Amino acid sequence: MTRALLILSIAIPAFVLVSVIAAIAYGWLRPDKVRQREAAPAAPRFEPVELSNTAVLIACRNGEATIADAVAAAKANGVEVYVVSDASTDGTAARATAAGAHVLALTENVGKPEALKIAYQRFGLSWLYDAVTILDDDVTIEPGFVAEALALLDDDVAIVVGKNVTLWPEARRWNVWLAKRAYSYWNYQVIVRRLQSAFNVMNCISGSNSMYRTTLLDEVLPVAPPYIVDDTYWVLETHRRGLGKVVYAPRAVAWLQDPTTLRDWYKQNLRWLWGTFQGIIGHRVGRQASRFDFAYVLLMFHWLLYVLNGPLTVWLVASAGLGFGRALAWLAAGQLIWLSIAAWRLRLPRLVLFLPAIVVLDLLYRVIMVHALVKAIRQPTVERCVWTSPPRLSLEGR
Amino acid sequence: MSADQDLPVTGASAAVTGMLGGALAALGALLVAAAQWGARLRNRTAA
Repeated sequence: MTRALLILSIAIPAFVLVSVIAAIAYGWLRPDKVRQREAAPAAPRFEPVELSNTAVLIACRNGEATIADAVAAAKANGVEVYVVSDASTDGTAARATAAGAHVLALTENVGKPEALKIAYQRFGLSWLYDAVTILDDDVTIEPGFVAEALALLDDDVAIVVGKNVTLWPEARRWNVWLAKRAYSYWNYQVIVRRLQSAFNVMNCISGSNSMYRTTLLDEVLPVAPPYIVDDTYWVLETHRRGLGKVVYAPRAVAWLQDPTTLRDWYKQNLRWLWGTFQGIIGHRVGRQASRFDFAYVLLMFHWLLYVLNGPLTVWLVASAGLGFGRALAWLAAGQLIWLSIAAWRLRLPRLVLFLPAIVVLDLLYRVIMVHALVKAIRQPTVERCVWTSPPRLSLEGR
Repeated sequence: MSADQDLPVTGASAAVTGMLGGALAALGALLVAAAQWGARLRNRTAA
């Protein structure tokens, strides 16, 4: 052990020293290849956007239970709202119209990305506005959502991502899937999303509630996404083509409907992760020397450790003679700290009571990751980016 | 919506990733600075 430490204490500084010398030599031999700080290419510069130059676009299929509330919440932001009904067979179009939206009712079911593209073109949103917020039909944004997102739409920013908050009605107060999602969103956004936003390396956005410059939508919307998650394609294109920065707006709050059963939760996560892995394969993430690639590779390294360390911890503790129960308790102790902070920050004390379920679901999530990876390897692209959303809850009595 | 938003960042894996990422980013910054210094030295000598 001492010997290994001794070797490392010599090898690491020696490696760093040799690398520094090699870097200096590289700069000396190829000065034209070394980008000087002041010569760094600037990100695209955009014009400032006023509230009156923004709109909301919602794609909806059979969403009569929620569309009126989604439109009303969006209109409370003081912007025009446009809805495209993707061949709905219920009262979606009528309800959206009654709620004050401009409505385009398609007669053929084309899927969300295609419906958004058609609506964007038919309504002429590119000509009328400088920025468009795209929402899902079951998302209700707070009245200050658009203004808060606009506040972060700096002259080099192309996408502003809103804050996800799980809609957790009293009637479903003991639903473990909503508890898991409420906790996960909080955790993800407070750590990963804030860090990624600070360094402009966000790998996934909230397709259900984000604001985009129309200059960006003009580029990405006409292309049919080759992945099962449309916004995964959009964000990867934004990074790869240098279309602008992607930032997170924690004050732009959107209430989301999330799965309430094991089947829906598994299916939705599988689709999200399948799309993620398709994006990694299709956009050759990790093959370029960029800050985005570095951060993404680091994230993938985290996923690998995450998948391995759960079962490994259980196995190590159990094999040490402490038993399977103790092993799970060990995992639970770590989660309890985070869950307690989440319960405090979300003002949901009952969240702590979901600890055992969240530990088990956290282990199950690893299975979904592996399943999604295998699925992405077997099917790295899709012909049509179409899926079925989990059933929506009516917002009445929320 | 997409990706890994249902994956809490909590335990040892996050800590290890953070430390490794920090160390690699620091090494990268050091090497870039060294290369820039080498290039500046060359340009100054050439001038």
